[in-house]
Amino acid sequence: MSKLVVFSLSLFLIGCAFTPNNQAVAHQMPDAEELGASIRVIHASPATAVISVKPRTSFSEIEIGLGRNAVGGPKTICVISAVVIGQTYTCQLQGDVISTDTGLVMTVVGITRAGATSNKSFTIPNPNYDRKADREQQKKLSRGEQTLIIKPEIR
Amino acid sequence: MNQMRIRSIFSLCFLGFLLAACGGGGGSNPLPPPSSSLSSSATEVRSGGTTTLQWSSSNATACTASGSSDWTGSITTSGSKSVPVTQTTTFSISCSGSTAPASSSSVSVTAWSAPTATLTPSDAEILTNSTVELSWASQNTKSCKGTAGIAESIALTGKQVSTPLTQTTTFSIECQNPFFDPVRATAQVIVSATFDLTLTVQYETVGPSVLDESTTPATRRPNFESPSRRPLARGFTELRTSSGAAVPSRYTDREGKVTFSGLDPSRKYTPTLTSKTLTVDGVEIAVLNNRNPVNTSAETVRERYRPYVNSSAEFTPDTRRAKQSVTIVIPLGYDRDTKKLVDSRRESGAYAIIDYVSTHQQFLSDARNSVSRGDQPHLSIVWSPSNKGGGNEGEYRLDEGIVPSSGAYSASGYRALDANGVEKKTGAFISEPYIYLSGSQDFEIMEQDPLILIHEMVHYSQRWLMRKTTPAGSHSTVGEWQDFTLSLHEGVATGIPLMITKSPITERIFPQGANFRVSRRDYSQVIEASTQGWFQERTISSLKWKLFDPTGSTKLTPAQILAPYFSTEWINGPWVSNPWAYGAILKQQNPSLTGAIDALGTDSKITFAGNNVWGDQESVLGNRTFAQTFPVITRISTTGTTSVCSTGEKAEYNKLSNRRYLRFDGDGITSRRYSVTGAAGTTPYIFVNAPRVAGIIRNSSSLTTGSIVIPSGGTWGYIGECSVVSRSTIDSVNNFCGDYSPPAETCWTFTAQ
Repeated sequence: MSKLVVFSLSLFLIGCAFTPNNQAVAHQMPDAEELGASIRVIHASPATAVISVKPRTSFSEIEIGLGRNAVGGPKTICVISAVVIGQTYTCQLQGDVISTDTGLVMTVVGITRAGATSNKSFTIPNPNYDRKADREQQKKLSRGEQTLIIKPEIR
Repeated sequence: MNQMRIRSIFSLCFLGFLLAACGGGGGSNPLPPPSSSLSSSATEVRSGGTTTLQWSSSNATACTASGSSDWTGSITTSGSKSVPVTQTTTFSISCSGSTAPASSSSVSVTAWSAPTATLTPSDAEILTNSTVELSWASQNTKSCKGTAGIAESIALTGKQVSTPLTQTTTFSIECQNPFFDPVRATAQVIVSATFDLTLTVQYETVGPSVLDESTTPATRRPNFESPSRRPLARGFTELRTSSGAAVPSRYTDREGKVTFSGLDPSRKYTPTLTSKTLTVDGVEIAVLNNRNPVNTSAETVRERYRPYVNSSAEFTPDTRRAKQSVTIVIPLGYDRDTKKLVDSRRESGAYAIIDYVSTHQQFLSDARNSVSRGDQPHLSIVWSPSNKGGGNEGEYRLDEGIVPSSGAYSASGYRALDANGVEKKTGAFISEPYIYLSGSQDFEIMEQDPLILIHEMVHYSQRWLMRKTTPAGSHSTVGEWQDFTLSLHEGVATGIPLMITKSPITERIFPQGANFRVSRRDYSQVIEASTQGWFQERTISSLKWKLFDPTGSTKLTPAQILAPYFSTEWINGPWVSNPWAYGAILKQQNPSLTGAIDALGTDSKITFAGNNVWGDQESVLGNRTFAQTFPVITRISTTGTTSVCSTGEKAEYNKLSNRRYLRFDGDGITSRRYSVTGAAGTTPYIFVNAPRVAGIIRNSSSLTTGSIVIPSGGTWGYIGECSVVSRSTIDSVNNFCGDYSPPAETCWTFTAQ
């Protein structure tokens, strides 16, 4: 056996919570981890990234593409068929987000033979996003006056 | 001889015929037709009384009676008879003689029952100086009269409009018949200077999904065209006046109704909703618009963002009625012309969230008989129609609506927000839990999905109502090979929505190209190519459904199913949350169902039969070898050494193998010290569930000495290769353990000191 490292420790504590005090370890939505999707961003603008998938369950097809907020609308970039569980597939995508949006969405959709779906999306923040203009716009949208439909009782 | 007799008879008959034929020409007069008469000794009787019928006839040979069961059939041609009268009856006779026509006679006898009368105002309550229309009706009455507020001479039924009323007034009428005491009907009309307004608040949500069979395979799509309407439970509601003053706020009830009293009919009111609620446990939960910071120097979610506020057009009161009502509908924001959801009109989203969380809190409150631990913190939910997930790892850009996950519940807190609404990477944590939800059509419309919201709310409840220790991190409903305690917590978080919606089917809406799709899961079914067991989140959710299933073998109520989690054993047990402890407690609480619960466990590939709270008898493998997986919880000896091995790569699913669970026995007195050895170049990551003890220190990548007191009942912990464990449970950005490639398998030796 190679050299043993002896940690002169006693058991140490992380407070009384199983979850350390950290936002990033929050309880996440049950995302479609079964797609085994990950992203590597190459450029922020135009948004360029490589999405890898390593499916953990059976899919007949996986589609990877630009989301609906891309300039020019949604676009399927890669279609992976005859998907093998555990195999890694990669897809390079490039696109621009519409100028008023905060980030470009890239989507991964897995479809099983029975038609069931799993989806996982990524967002690449928009470096050219106009924070000031967006805040003004959001303020305008948030007034909420006369947005409810009122129906007096009819007698 | 016979021939002669026949001739004689024939001759007699012929003679008779001739006599009859010539009779009209003179000789004896024919008999006149019969006549009859019928009379009654009384024309009115008390119902059930009797009357004597007397009848006679002339030229009649037979008479027949009809009209009641006691006055029917053949009777003599004259006579008298006493008959009972239970209801108003027409008695008749018909007498026939040798000459037609028959004669008929009849007499009616009225039977009086107890009189009844009703008097109904058009409004039970009216405003001062208004009139009311009074309607009355009576039965079994011969006469009626007004006795208060109504003209004396009135018909048996009718209507009358009152004079303008200035005070609460009682109206009355009196009706009678000859055989009973008069009956009185009264109606009080309350006259008020103020009115009550009842709001019925409903929100629109996407309708039941539809199957698009134009694609192969068929695709399920959301139904925005025909939204459903649901009552907003426990929504915060106000009435605002033109002067800006607001009537004291109220919360809607479960049916979405709320009544404001004492309103001035001369003023106009604007119904206003705010996206916040006060749960049955007294916890304030607010849906905040993180895309519109109201104070960019504020560092906390609560101070930086505000709830959504929505109002309707002004309501002009009816100046006559003291009880008024309106329905308020919060629109989904779907434009039927363009066939698109319009983000700027998606008003119902924030309120759908409020309704789902209120429903969840009520459900749990009902399930635990309203027992509250009383320490639940207020909760914020940040949502906007442009919120996205899938952002950079570790970057929480709340003002921009981009975070790493599609949504998450922050159990313990977060770091302060900077001027751009981005969570800082350093600094103290703000102990204020919040849930982030995606809402973007480009990403996922989560507010339309009770599964997602309630799933996260269950985590909030697990943390504050069940156990203080809950696992976290990425996970998957249909993925496999998860850590058993992660599977349990996540599986329960998905199982509870199934019970609330009383359906094993869940749906999520997400965009695919220019369209939307619905991802549907049926938790009553085993999925294709799936391995069930304690390592699969979906198995736990399905088991919850099987226990609840109204057609299943146990048919447990939600309260029974959730009772183990609220039990003292669960909350204080020295073992880590696990499915075997749940099964053991459930059987203790429902001893008559032990066999059925064991069978459901076996059906789900989880060993309940004969098992203890530490899962010692579990034998179903995950994706590892027996030696790598069992025992699922390793008991650390109080003397000598114990070896524990963990294996796996970063982010690999079998977190059990990455992170091996430990059982420590304790005597409650001794501060037990262990040393741990491992292979060169590895760093053990160790957790022990015990109160913090002075002198215990942790820093970024090394472990330092210290000691702990094992509680008298023992406790649990885990160990794993640091970077692997951290990948699954701890934010790598914080780099607790460094980031390097771990060996395929790492063994650790615990030596009791």
